[in-house]
Amino acid sequence: MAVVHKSELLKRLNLDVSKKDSLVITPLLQRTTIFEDTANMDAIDVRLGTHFLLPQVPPAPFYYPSRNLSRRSHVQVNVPLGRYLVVPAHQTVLGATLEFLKMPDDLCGQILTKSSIARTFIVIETAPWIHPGYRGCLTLEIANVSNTPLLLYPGRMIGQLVFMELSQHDAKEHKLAGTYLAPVYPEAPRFQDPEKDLERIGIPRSQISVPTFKFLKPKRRPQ
Amino acid sequence: MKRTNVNDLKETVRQESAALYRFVDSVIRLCTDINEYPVYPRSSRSLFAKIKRLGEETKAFLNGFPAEAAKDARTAFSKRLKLSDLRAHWETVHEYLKPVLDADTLHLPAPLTTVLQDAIESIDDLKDITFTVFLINELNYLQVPSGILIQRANDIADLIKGTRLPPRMGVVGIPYSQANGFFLNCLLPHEMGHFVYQEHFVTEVVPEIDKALETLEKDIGHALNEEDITMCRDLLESWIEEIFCDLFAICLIGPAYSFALIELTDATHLIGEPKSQLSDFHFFIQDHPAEMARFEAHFKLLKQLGWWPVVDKSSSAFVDVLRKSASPTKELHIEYALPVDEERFLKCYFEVCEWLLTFLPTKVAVSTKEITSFENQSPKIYDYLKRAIVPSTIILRKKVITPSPIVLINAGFFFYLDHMADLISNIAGKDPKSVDTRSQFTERLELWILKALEDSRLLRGEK
Repeated sequence: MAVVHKSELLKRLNLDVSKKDSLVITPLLQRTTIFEDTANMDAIDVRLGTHFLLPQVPPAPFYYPSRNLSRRSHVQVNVPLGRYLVVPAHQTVLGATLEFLKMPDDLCGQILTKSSIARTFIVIETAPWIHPGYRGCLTLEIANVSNTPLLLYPGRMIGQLVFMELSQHDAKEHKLAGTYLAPVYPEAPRFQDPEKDLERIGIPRSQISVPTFKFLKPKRRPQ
Repeated sequence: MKRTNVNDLKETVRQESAALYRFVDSVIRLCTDINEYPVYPRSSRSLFAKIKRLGEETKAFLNGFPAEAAKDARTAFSKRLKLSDLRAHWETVHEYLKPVLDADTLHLPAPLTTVLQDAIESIDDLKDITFTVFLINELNYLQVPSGILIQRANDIADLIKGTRLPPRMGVVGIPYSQANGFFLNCLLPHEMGHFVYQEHFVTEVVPEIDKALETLEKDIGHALNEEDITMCRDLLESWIEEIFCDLFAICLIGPAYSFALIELTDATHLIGEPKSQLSDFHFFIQDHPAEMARFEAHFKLLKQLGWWPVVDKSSSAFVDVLRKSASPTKELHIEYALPVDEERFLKCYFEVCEWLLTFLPTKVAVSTKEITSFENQSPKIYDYLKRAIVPSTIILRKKVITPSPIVLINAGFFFYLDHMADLISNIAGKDPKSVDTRSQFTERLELWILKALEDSRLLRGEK
């Protein structure tokens, strides 16, 4: 699996969107600089977007990944270009790339923390893989693993995209799919209830422990 | 121990001033942390800063008020009335400030409002007009008449000899449930139009209304009495202001405005309407011309500006509404009994409306380049949207193009009307006939268009 050269990426960026091997990255600011000879030949830098999901203290002493509760675990904030977000030491936040990406059917990719950002002990990804055909702004699981609060400026470079060609791909046109189809902002995780997921692999409901907290199972009122 | 006599005038005034001081302080405290979270648009921040300054000036005034009032016992009572006025004005500010505070950038279609503000600033005579958006409970878009918030703030400034607010500051409301949406918020330019009309165009339009009424009196052969002419003038003025705002909105953003109005008013019910059963769309009411008459004017303006050939290509029922409204055989009525013949009075409305159709495009120039760009770029934008891709940059005939905001707004709306099924059919396991699915992907589409508007502004401003 070879890393795709930038000249090939530029060729794909200029293809008509109806072509299966076309690549879309938008807005690609400073487009000419990105493809200058002096720039890295194997990666395209991406910028931090303007919307974030800050984790909330859960209403229980744990985070329960279920259908209803997973969406209540974050607070959305908007930090416009020119303003900054403070990420306290040892804290996490969900962000997204400013760029919207559409992957060709024959390429997969990876997003990596930009080295200068990594040196401040910011990690931007824990699920860095990008599947062929993916579209959307990339959700970034940003973690400040340093001992110092750090400021993040939306619009500044934060990561780099590396693309790889699949060793084999079929010519068949695939329909769009995915839990998070074409998001433009970071989105909270979506889960099924654990009972539902586990039942599918044959675990009987009676054997599945569900935490019993008041907020999870409200008492039924007497009729 | 000495007891304070509560009936003592000085003490009473001190008490009254302190109570009002505390009230004003509690109101302006809301405007203090506006540079932190949540984030507000520039115009809202400017408004908060000015209200805060006015609050500080009011507090300084109240500090000195007891001594001032006590100078002359004979005028003390009338001076104290000032406090009641001041309280009443601050109560209005209090009422309108909260909905503005609720409208932070997470609860506004911020990319769209920015595009609209840019469009208004690009018009020579309207450069200095700014708009602040707030959230309202009603599902009707509303422009606070002549900016009550601004008026009351200026009343306060006059009472305390404080700083007046800048004159060209408009306030428009959007329903809180539509805060993040795109399609219905294409009605915003109409609401902005009310402020633009009152601030700038009313003096040019009113003489045309007078002229039409004079012709009416000539035609009927006698002058109307004061009560009747006032009634006719009031009706005509409100209808003309409404149609002015409609036409202004179309000049500003194109057919997307008409479609948003058709959606808000459910005007697609006009299609298939039995002739024997005329709906409300045919009736002029106190505040608004009949929807049929409004859409007829939209049709004429779209034709005049050069939009119609591209609109006409759509097979949507929304476009059928425009076609049907343009029919010369339609019936129009006025809901009220008038002192003059209904048909003759409607002629007055249509005379001024015709004049507006010629006048407005000379003031709010629409670039034909935008329409040509729309024609060239919209099929390609649909290709992007069908594939669930944000169309802020498109490749058209091997060229990289950033569509303009007007092109994006209208292409987004046409896609919503004509191509939703194409998008949904591209998604595994989704049924284009399902209402739930269509609603879900309409929400996605709104996000993509708003993102494209935001990106387009960035790309165009790039150095």
